[in-house]
Amino acid sequence: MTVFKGMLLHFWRYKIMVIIVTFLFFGIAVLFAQNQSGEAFETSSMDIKIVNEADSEIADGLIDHLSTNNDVDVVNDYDRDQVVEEIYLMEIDGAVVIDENIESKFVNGASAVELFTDPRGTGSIHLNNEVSKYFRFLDADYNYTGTVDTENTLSTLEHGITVNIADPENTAEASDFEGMKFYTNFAGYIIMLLLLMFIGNIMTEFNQPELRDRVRVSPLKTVSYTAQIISAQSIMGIFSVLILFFGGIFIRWDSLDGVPLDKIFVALLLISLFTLSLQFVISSLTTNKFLINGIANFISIGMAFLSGIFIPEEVLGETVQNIARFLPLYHFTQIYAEPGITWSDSFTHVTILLLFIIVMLIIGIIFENKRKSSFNL
Amino acid sequence: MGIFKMTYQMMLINFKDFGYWFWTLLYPLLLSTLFILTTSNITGDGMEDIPVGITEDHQLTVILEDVEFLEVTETTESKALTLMEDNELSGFITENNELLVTDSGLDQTILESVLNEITQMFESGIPPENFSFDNDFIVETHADREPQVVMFYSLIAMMVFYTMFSSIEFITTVQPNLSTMGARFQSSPYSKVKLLMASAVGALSLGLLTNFIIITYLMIFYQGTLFSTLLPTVILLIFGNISGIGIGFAIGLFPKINANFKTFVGLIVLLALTFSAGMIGPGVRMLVNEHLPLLNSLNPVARVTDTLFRINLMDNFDDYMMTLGILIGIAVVMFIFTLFALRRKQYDSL
Amino acid sequence: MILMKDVIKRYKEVIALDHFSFSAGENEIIGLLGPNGCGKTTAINCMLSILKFDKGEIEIFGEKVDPNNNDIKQRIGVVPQEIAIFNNLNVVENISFFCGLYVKDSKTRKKLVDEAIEFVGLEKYRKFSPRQLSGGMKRRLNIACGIAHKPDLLFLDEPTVAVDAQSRNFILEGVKKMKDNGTTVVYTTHYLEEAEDLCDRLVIMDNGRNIAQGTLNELQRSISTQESITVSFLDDEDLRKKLKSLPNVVNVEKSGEIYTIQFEKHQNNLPNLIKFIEENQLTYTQISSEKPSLSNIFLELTGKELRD
Repeated sequence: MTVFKGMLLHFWRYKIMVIIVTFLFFGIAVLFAQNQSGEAFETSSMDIKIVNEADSEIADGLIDHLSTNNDVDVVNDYDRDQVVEEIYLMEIDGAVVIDENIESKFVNGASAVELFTDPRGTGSIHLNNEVSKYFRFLDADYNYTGTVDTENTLSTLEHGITVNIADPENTAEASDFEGMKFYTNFAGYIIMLLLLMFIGNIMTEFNQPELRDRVRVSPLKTVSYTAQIISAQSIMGIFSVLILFFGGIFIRWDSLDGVPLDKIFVALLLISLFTLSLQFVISSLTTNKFLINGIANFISIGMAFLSGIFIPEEVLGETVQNIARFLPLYHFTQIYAEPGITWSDSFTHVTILLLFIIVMLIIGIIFENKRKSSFNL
Repeated sequence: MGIFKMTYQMMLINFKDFGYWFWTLLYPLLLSTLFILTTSNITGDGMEDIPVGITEDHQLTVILEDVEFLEVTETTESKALTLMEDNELSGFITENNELLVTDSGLDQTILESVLNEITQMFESGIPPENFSFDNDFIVETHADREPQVVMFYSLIAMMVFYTMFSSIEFITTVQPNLSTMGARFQSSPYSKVKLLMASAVGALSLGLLTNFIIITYLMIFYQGTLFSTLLPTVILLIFGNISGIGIGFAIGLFPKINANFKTFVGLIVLLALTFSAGMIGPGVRMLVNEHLPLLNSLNPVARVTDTLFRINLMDNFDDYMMTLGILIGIAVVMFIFTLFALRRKQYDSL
Repeated sequence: MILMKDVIKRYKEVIALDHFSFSAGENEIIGLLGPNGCGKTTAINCMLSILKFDKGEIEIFGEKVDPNNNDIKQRIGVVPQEIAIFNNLNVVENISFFCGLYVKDSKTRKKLVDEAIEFVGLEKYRKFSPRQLSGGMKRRLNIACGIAHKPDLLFLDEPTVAVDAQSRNFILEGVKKMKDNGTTVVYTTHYLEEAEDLCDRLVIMDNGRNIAQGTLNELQRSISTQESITVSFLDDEDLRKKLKSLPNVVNVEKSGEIYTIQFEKHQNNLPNLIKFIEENQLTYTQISSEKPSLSNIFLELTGKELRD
C-alpha cells in the first residue's frame, strides 16, 4: 500500500492547484451551460442597440415596439465603428439608427431609419421584418386616416396568434438536455486536462530513473507496484469524475428531466479511464515536466476543438468532422448525444472508447518495456 | 561581461530549452493550425430560408409563399411533427391558424411574427389596399460578422504574455532563497540593473521572434485578413511582450515557491484569461461580457485582443494609445518593484 | 582578511550561529569543520552578505560586508555546496557566464575560462552539456564556475561530497595550487582526513559555536589525549586493567586482540609500554604510535563522532 499512499500524498500536495484550476474551469463550464427554455413557447429575444437621434413620437413608438420582445439598449448618439464592431463580435444582434428627421421622412416615404445587421444571419431578417412591420402599419394607418397615431399602431401590433409546443414535456427535456450536454462536453475537456497535467506531473516524480531503481531493488513485486499505481490513479480519476458529475447535477438540479445521467456518468468514467491510459503512454515516453504539461494542454484543447466541444460540430468543416470520428472525445460526446438515447445507441461509442483505452494500454506497455530494456544497457 | 554579451547569454539559456520552444512556438503554431482548420467554415449563422409546414389547402398558403424568406411545404400535422423532430421544418401552421413548434428559437419567432402580422392586418380594420410592401423606410448597412477572428487575436494576445515564463525563470534563478545559483549571482559584483535589463531584452527578442513566426504563419495560411496595419500591430506586440516580462518578474519574486509551480500557475491563469478573451470560440467571450463584464475589462489579454481586432479590422485607433499605456504602465510598475526588491536584498533564511 | 565577531543568527527558535567568531589571514587555507547542520553554510552566507544576521560584525578585506559593496564582491569567489550551473549551457558557456559576472573584458575572460577548465581538468569536455557529465565532473564544473575570475578569497562549501576518488584528488590538488597562487580559501567539510591534509588552520564548529581553532598541532595540544598507541597481542588474557596502571594512561579500549591506549602526555609512553610487555612476557605482533587525529579531537571536544 505504500506506493498507493505515496501517490495520493503527492496528489494531496497539488491540492491548491487542483482547487484553483477546478474553480476556474467550473466557472467557465457554468457559463457554457446557460441556455434554458421551458415548456411554453418563448419568443426569442434579440439584443438590439437603438440610436435615437430624433425627438419624435414615431421614434418612441418604434422603440416601444422593439422593446416588447427584445433586449433594447437605447442611446442618443453613437459611433458607427463601435456599432459595427459590436455586431462583428456578436455582442449585439443588430442596431437601429433613427434619423432625427424621422417625422418628415416618414411622411414623405423616405427612409427614416438605418439598420445595421449581418445579412447572413437569421437575426437580420427578423430585425428587418420587425422594423418594416411597424412602419407598414403606421403607414397604412396614415394612408387610411391621414394622421400618425403610434398608439393605435402599437395596440394593433399587440394582436397575435397562438403558438403551441407539440409535446411540451419533450421540449423541456430537450432544453434541459442541451444544457447538461454543454456542461458534460466541457467537463470531458476538464477531466482530460486535469488528469493529464496532475498525474503527468506526479508520475514524472515516480518515474525518475533513480526512484524506479529503488523500487526495482525492493522486494515489492512489479505486479503489486503497478497495481498500486493504477489504483491510485483510478482513485484520482474517479474523484474528478464524481466532482464534475455531481457538480453538474448540483448546478442544474432543477432541470434534469430527459438528461441521460447514467450515460453521462459512464461517459465521464470512460473518458477519465482513457485519459489515464493516454497518460500511461505519455509518461512512458518522457519525464520532462514542461513537455508533459504541454502535451496535456495541447491534446486536450485540440481534441475539444475538433470534437465540437467549444465550437458547435455543425459549423466545423467536413474534414474536421471526419477527423473527429477518430478522436475519443468525439465518441465520449456521442454516448449521451440525445435526450432519450438508449444503451444500444450508446453501445458503439462505449465500445470504441473501450478499444481506445485498450490500444493506449498496449502502446504504453510496449514503450514501457522498451524503456526498461534500455535501462539495462 | 558587457550587457550585450549578457543578453546573448540570457537568450542562449532560453534558446536551448525545449520546454520554452514548445510553449512559445510549437503550442501557438499547433493552436493556429487547429483554429484555421476548425473555423474555415464559420460564417455567421448560415442564412437559409425558414422551412414551414402548412395543412393542405390552407388559405394562408398563397400569402406565405410570397414571403421571400419562407419555404412553404404542404403536409399533415403528424408528418410535420416528424419533420420538426428531424429539424427539417421549423414550424407547422394548423387549420385553426395556430403555429405548432417543437422548440423555441429565432426561426420560430420569425414565423410567429409573420403570422401575427397577417392577423394584425385583419384586426386593424384598415383596408388592405392601404398596406404597401414596397415602401422602404429602412436603409440597411451590412456589418458582416466574423466572430472567429477573436480566437486568433486572443491566441496572439496570449502569446505576447508568454515572455513572462523567461522572466519567472530568471528571477527565480538569481534569488539565493529559490535557487542554488542565487548565491553566485548575489555574491557577484555584477550590476542588478544590467542583469535585469539583459534578461528583459533577451526575453523580448525571443518573444518577438516567436510572435513574428506565428503572425507570418497566420498571414500565409489564414484565408481571411487578420493583419492590415502591420506597424501599429508590431508596436502593440512589443508593448505586450514587455508587459509580460514585467509580470513575470513580479511573479518570480514570490518567495518560497519554485519556478515550476509559478510557471504552472502562470500558464493556467493565462489560459483562463485567454479563454475569457475568446480563444475557445466567441461564445465564452460573449457570456463573460454579459455576466461578468468586469472580468474582461480588467483582463489584459482581452484588452490586447480587442485592440488588435480594432486596429486591424475596424481601422479604429481610439483605444490604441490607452492599451499601450496600460501595458507599459504594468511593465514600469513591475520593473520598479522588481528592481527595488532585488537591489539590496539580504535574506532572513535561505 | 576575514574577521567575524560574535555573530548571532537565528531562524525563528533555532540558533544557527551562536556568538560565532572566526578569522582568516592572507594566503591560507582555513578548514571549517563540523557535522552536517552545525552552521557552516550559514556562516559562509553571512560572510557573503546574502544572509542577514541578528548581531555581531563581519569584515572582509578590512571593510564591513554589505550587499552593495561590489569592490569586496569582485575579489570573492563562491563554490556553493549544491551544484549551481545552467543545465542548458555547456561547460565552456557555464564557466564563461559566471566569470562574466566579474570580468568585463572578453579576451581576458576567454583566457581565464581556459585556465579554469584546465585547472579542473575538463579540457576534454568543453562542449559537453552538464547532463552528460558524471557527478564528480559536475562538481568540478561547479568549482570552475566559482574560481574562473581568480578571486583573492574563495569559499568552498563541501566541494568533495559525493565525488569519486579521482575528482576528489583533482579538487584537493587544485585547492593547494590556488593557495600557492595567493588565494585565501575557506574550506568547509566534514571529512577530517581532507582537512588534516589540506588546511593550514582549522575551526571546529558545533551547534553554531566555534568550539576550537588553530593549526592541527595546536588543536592536538589542546586536548587531553596526546598520544594514542595501538598494539595487538597474541595472548588471550584481558590486559585492560594492567595497561591502565601504566603512567599517563587516560583510556584503554579493546577490540578483539587490538588495544588502543590513550596517553595524556607525550612522555616516553612507547618505551614504557614495551617495558611492560617484556615484564609480562607478552607476545605482540604489531605496535604503532600516533598523535591524536582530528577525529579524536572532535570526539573529545564535542562528545560525538563527526560522521554519524
